[in-house]
Amino acid sequence: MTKKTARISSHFKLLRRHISVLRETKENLQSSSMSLEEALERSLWQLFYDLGYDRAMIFFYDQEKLVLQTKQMMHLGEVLAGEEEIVLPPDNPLYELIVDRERDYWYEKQEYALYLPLLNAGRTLGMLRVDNGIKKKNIPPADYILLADFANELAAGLEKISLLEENHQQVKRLLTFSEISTAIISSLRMPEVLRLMALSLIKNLYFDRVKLYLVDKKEGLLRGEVSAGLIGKISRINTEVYPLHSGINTMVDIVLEKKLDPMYHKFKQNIVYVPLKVRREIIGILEVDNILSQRKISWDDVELLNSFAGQVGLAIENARLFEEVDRLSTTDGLTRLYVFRYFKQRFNEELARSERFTQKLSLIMFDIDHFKEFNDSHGHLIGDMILVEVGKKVLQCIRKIDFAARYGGDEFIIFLPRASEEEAKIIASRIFHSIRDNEIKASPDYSLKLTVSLGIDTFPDHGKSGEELLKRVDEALYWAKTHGRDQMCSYSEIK
Amino acid sequence: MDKILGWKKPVRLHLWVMPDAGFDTRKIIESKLKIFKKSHPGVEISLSIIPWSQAWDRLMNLVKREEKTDLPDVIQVGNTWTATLAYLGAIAELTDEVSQINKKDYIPQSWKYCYLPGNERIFAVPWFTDLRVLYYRRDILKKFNLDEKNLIDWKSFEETCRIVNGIKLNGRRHFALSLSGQREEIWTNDLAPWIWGSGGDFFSEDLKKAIFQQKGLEGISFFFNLIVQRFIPLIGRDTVFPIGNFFTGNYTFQFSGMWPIHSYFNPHHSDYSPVAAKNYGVTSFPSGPAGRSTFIGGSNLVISRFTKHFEQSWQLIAFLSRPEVQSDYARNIGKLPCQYAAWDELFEDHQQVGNVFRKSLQFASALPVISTFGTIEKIISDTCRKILDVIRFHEYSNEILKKEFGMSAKDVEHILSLYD
Repeated sequence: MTKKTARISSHFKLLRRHISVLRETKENLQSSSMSLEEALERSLWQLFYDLGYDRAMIFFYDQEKLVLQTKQMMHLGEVLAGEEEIVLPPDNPLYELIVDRERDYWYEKQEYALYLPLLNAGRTLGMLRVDNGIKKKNIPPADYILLADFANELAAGLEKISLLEENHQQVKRLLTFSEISTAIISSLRMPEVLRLMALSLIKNLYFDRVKLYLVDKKEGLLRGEVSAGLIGKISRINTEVYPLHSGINTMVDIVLEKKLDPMYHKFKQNIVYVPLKVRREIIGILEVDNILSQRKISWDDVELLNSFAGQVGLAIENARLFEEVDRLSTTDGLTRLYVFRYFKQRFNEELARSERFTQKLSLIMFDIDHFKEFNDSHGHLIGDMILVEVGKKVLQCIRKIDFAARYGGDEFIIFLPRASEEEAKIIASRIFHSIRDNEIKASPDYSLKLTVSLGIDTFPDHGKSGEELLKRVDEALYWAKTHGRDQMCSYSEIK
Repeated sequence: MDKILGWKKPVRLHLWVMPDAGFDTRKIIESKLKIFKKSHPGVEISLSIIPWSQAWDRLMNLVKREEKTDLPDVIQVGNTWTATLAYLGAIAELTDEVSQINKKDYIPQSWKYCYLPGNERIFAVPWFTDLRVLYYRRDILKKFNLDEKNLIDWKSFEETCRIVNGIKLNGRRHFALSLSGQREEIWTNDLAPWIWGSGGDFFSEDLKKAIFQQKGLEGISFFFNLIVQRFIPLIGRDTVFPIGNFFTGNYTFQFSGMWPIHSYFNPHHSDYSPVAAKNYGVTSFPSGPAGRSTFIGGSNLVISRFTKHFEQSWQLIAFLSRPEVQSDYARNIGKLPCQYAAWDELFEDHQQVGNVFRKSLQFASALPVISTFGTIEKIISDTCRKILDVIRFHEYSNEILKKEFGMSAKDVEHILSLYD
């Protein structure tokens, strides 16, 4: 082979190598499933396994700080993430390479190292450094073009992967928004709304913890409602209560609109307070933190929280309204006891339970003696006050599991789960004496003494069905009324 | 089917380790794992070297279920991370397993980092440790008729810094004291010995109040005054190894751990520094008004809560914890093994250094164990950064120091109040 032929042959060999390496680089970086770290790793491996360089480093460029930060380093095939930084003062040759772009490359003889910028669409993304410092062998100039093309492919690939990742994050955020919105509007019950909201935020946005506080305008307080954490724990935080006075804490200042920029707080962006607004009024605060994981809550996450704070506010407002409607439909507006319609529904449920588990269930029915005459002589206003006071006394006397309702007018009815006749008599006696032995305050300057007539019956002793039991307790009450009033009577005594 | 054929599939464990030995880490660990595999033929180990800068993030991905593949079984973690990981439910409890270990074989301070704060449950096994001692240039001190006796306490140390600072040696300007890290940053482990040396601490015993701004402020002030007096020169925040350090030959003092013995003073190491290696001396941290104090840190081994092979994971930890394995690995990465038995072998060729480290162990303290330590550490470090800026612009005063650390204490207490 002549010298010329050998030269041409060598040249073609180089070209083939050039094309082959670039093709592989492109293939490596085209994959849409590859992460940025994987792409960098593969590129660095290529530099060692295919091109035989001892070491290589890929830097990303921080334009603001004029600093190159190592992303990944390769040393004889072993790849590690880098933690170094190179500052670029104006007298540094790398400044000309990266900042001024007055050079296409820089070769440092002493280090056997070649530096190349990573450029894409006119932007400097970073830098590639390749060296043969271990075998102390110069990088031949013939390789410079190959490595420059390699750097260009790398830059284009990295940009593409970054954009794909960003896109993926945005899609994820939209899906998250949709999922969380669906979750919080799926219920109208306040505890459920709060629980779903807190859980959704943890599950979809991976915060360490989410806490929700609601404003109690009436009491002038900010109340803790629910807390949900990464470890799956959901708890009520009702003991966290803050008066709405300026300076108490950041959340209160946000509610009182003393803080101009409430969204982003210090602690290295690990905590965010999001005001929940409905029609421009702050009804609560969502506190989100990454204090344990120390993950910055990104601006994208803050914007997402902000967007969906309005939805959360509305969901809470709806839940509150629903609670109010529910309360009004089941509660007697005057006495705050339940209405009879709702009593009957719950009574039937409780009766079925008692039947199933073979448990006792008792009823107490009572009315206020001579109430009609009293109402006629003192007026309905005083009469209403008396009913209110009697209602309060009933609630004070019954157990937590008992269910009291206003039957109608001046009549009251209570069911007592798992109470025998004897136990019902004890509670009945409590109610009886509470009203009888104490003056009822009908108004600030008017008290009076009242008596009641009271009937008692018990399932299954006195009846097996709801109708039977209601009928029989009524009969017991009637007997008490027709035999002198001011007394208690159990159905056992009259049957 | 496998059972019928009598063939058991090998168990594959994933081990995550930090690159404490740089690019040599894989080679070193794999040489150990070879020995493990011989005695555990049914276990294969896949090794991942995760850099410190990424490790925390990867662990959080694990906790937050964002890491879907190659979940680790055994993980090396920084010892101050253990409490947070335990709190987040990322790592398995090891109380029963550890009961098989004789804890007395270990440096007692290393166990402090293995518990969940406030109770007796153990979540880690100490692997290696390190503690700060004072390296100094004998040749420079000799020039001024000074020696180790002039480094006994804070006062004499400060005076010695004053004497040696700013001298010119072989045409180069020398400084007194180098910062311990790669950048101009001050972390809690830098401040800790000064806080403790003045009789202070970071938090109250119940971990509800920050107290470093009280008694500890005397020590913090002493440390920053060393910088104000330019014994520690400030060059630029973002520079790695600003203008070199003790080991590049133009400083007289540096607080450091075992790494220099392994690297800068080791002729076979790529970082060998002949000037420092020929002329170094080592002594304990100078004594403060409340006595001697130094910082002890290190790494633990933990088992991921998501492991499907707990038993084998524990066997791997038990193996890596053997004194001879610890000793060899620690020597290769420039750290100290956590078991006493391994120290003798480690210091066989460095008796004097060994004596200093043994002595320093007696007054070494661990950082507070608290689940929110990472965020708190950043708050304190941020405050230090502000103080450094104030010093740079010649606006420093003790009042500013007190004010900044006072505010920092309030922030820290807020964090303490958010998490038990």
